[in-house]
Amino acid sequence: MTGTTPEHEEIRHHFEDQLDAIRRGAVHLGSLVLENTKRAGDALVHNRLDQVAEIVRADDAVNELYEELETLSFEVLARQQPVARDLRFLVAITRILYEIERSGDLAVNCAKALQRMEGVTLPPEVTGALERLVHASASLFAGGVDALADMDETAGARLDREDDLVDELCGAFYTRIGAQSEILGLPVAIDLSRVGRYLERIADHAVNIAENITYVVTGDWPHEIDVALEPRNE
Amino acid sequence: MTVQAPERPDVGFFPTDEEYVELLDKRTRRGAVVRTGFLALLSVAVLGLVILLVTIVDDSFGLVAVVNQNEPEAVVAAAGYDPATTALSDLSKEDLVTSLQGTISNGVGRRLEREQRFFEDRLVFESQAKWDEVCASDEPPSGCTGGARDTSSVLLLVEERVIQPDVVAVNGMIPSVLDGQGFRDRIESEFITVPEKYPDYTFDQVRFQWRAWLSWKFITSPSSSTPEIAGISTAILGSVWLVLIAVLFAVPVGVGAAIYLEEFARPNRINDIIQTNINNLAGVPSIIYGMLGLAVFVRVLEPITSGSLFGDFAPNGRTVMSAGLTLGLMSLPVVIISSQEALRAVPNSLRQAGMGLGATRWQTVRSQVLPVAIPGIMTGTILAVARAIGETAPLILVGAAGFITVSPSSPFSQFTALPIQIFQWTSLPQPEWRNLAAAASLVLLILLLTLNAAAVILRNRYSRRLT
Amino acid sequence: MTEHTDTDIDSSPPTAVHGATPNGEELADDVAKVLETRDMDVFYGDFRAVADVSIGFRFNEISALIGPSGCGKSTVLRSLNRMNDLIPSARVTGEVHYHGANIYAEGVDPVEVRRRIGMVFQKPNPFPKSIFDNVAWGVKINGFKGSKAELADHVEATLRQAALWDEVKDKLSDSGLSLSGGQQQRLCIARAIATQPDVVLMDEPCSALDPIATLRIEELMLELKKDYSIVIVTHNMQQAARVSDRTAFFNVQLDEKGQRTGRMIEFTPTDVLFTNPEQQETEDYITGRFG
Repeated sequence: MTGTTPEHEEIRHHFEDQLDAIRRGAVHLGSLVLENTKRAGDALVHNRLDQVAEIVRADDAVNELYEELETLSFEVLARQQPVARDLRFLVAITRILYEIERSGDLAVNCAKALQRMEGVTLPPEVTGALERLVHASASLFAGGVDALADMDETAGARLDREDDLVDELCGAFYTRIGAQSEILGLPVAIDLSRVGRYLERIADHAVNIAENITYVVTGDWPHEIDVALEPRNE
Repeated sequence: MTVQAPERPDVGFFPTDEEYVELLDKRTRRGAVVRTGFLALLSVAVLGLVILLVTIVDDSFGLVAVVNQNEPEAVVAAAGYDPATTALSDLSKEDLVTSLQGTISNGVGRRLEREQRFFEDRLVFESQAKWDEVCASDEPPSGCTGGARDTSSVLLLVEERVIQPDVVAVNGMIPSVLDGQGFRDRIESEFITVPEKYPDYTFDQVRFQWRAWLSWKFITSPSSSTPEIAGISTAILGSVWLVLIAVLFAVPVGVGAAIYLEEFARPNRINDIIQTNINNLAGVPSIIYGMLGLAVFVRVLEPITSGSLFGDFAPNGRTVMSAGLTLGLMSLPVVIISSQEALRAVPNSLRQAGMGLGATRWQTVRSQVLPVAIPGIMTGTILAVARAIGETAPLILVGAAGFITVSPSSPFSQFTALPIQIFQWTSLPQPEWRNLAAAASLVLLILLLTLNAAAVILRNRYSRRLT
Repeated sequence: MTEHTDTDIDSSPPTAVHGATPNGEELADDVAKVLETRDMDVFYGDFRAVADVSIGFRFNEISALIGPSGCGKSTVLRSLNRMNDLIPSARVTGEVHYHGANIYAEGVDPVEVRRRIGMVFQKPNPFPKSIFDNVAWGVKINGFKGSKAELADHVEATLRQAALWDEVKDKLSDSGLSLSGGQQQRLCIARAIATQPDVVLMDEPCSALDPIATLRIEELMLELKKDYSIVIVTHNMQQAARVSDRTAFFNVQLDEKGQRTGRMIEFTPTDVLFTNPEQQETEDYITGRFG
């Protein structure tokens, strides 16, 4: 796996290769979902209905890769008797894969909401708030995928804090929808608030991914580390 | 001491702590008693061994009462030197020969000269004409071709023929060291109380001197009818010949048979029977092998064992060859069995490894199994040979000569051997022979110990090389 | 928050993973087998140790034989290169085909069979000779024709292949027994592949080794399967899981006469066998519910 010091001799090269392949596969999966999330956000902001089919199709590839990676993790778990960090990695990666796959579904949900809102032109106040939310959410998700790519144990706590911004932007988005609800009409307002919810959830998944990475590397969950650090902070 | 253990529910069949302590005491005591008993048994064995060794060594050295026909001092004085400053051994060869000339008869002198001449350039007892005539005959004596006697052999002749020491009484090493005067006093009183024991001498003639029966001279001299000058070179050489022939016969045959039985033979009825018989043969008394040797090697195979087939000659089959083969045959079962054991001790994994690489059975045996087995085979063989060296009974049957002075020079020579010599000497009446037998026993023991040591060293060296 | 582009992320697709075979692949009969038993029974005297074993081993794969003690897996292995011939009472019926030819046919010399189908044993058993000679001996006795230098080159290449060269290159003339257990076993593997067989049989090769040495041997096997086909018997089913491409499960069954006889229960790709075995019996065994 990653993070072994150079003087330290690796014996199980084939096992390492398998773990690395899974990790790289998961990063690839994450980048696919990130791309699709951005595309869905972009379609919403610019009312690009033509993108919907493309987004749905891209998610099929995501689901396929997800299944493949999950089977592989399952097989490695069954055959290699991983322990310690390797075990944490394989257990965490199945959760991470799930988080990524769910995020992909949420991106599709956004696209489907756009489909339902066909013909509706959103007022610029709403699209502006939506654009900021999309950008923050995608950025957070990219942070989650980065944490996975770099096995960065610090990302968990950081993304958890950054998630507050997404929640804030989401709240602002809801406020705008509320202000414009009469112009938008109830069905559109509901769909839009759902979209806000989806984007906020994508950010949550990203935080979960990063927290799982913290767990893999340190063996503890970020909030446990926070708790442990608290007395020193005060 | 008691160990503090946590309380456990009483199940009834374990002793209480007090009972346990008592029981433990009893068990410890019983162990100590048994250990002491075994130590006592060991002491008995060691004691027996020590007594045996002490007896032999005691007989091999000690004070003797000797009467010389001519005192060495007189010989020195007769040669014109001062006996106070010059010893017999300081005399020149010429002086010694002159002294001989003055004592022994011309007939004896001529015989000695024909055996080996005294000087390269001149004859002492023989006339030149007669010498040339004898040497020109069909069977010229050894003196015609060999070189001259050296000083030390002439000195030996002088001691034997001129001084003619006669040992009249012997004493063991330990009493000699502890109480040498006692021995002298005893002999002196015996001259008075039982004069018939010493009919030829008076006590004044008796000299007391320290004598090592086991000496270099003893080892290098041939046997003799005079105990004072008798040696065992003939017997040692005979034993060496016997061992050589026995080894040359028993080792290839025995090791070969063992390899076949262990590595090649499939377990079937015939091989089982052969194996059982070999095991039984190892327990057959050696005298039976002697009878076999007499019947087969001495009688039936006489043309071979007497050498008549090869042009060499011996009057009959009672030769080194016959005896060596008999001893070889006797050692064979032991060699086979110990070689088999050595081969069996080679881990099977080596054979499998060899065969697994596509080697044939023989390639595997030769390159992998035998090298590992060789230390064991050698140890077994050497021990079997050591046993053969000490063997007496079959040699008597096969016809070892009790008394010969000519060392064996070929497989078809007559021979004697160390144990035979010892056996023969112990049956002679004069007490000196017993001392000689003891000294010869010591030589035999040393020979055996050397062989055993060689076995151990060889085994260790081999097994070190392998790991 | 940092700006991310796709190039930040390692987005290459997962590479093919060693040891993993595509899911659910059935044992197709038309794939060429390097070694194949057909209705093989092995007897020791009157006792039938294994019955009706039909199993085909493929090129450049590691096949593992697992099962409880007495199930006959080692017996099957030793029948594959006629090592069982060394046991006087052993008898094989049925056929064992090597490249399509029956190695038990009349006129086949077992010596040749063993030269083609090498073997590594349970306990490391290097010859009590130098490391060099351990490797060179098998080559020499099989009629090596090259020069001394060529032999030295071949020994070096073999030791490199066995991942042992760096550890022994400075002490080739030392005794093979001076090495550690794991090194000895790798020396034995080197010795076995020095004669260039195309199948290597391994009879519990790691059962006498510590876990690290075991992992090294397993890693070596994964390397060697590129050039050789390997059949391994192991008590350790985790080992079978780790290294093998296919696993055969053997179990003891009572035959018509009430005798205990080993039989092959299933032979499936290892990932299938350890995640979703075809036979309930296999699942019971590998999950430790073995009665």
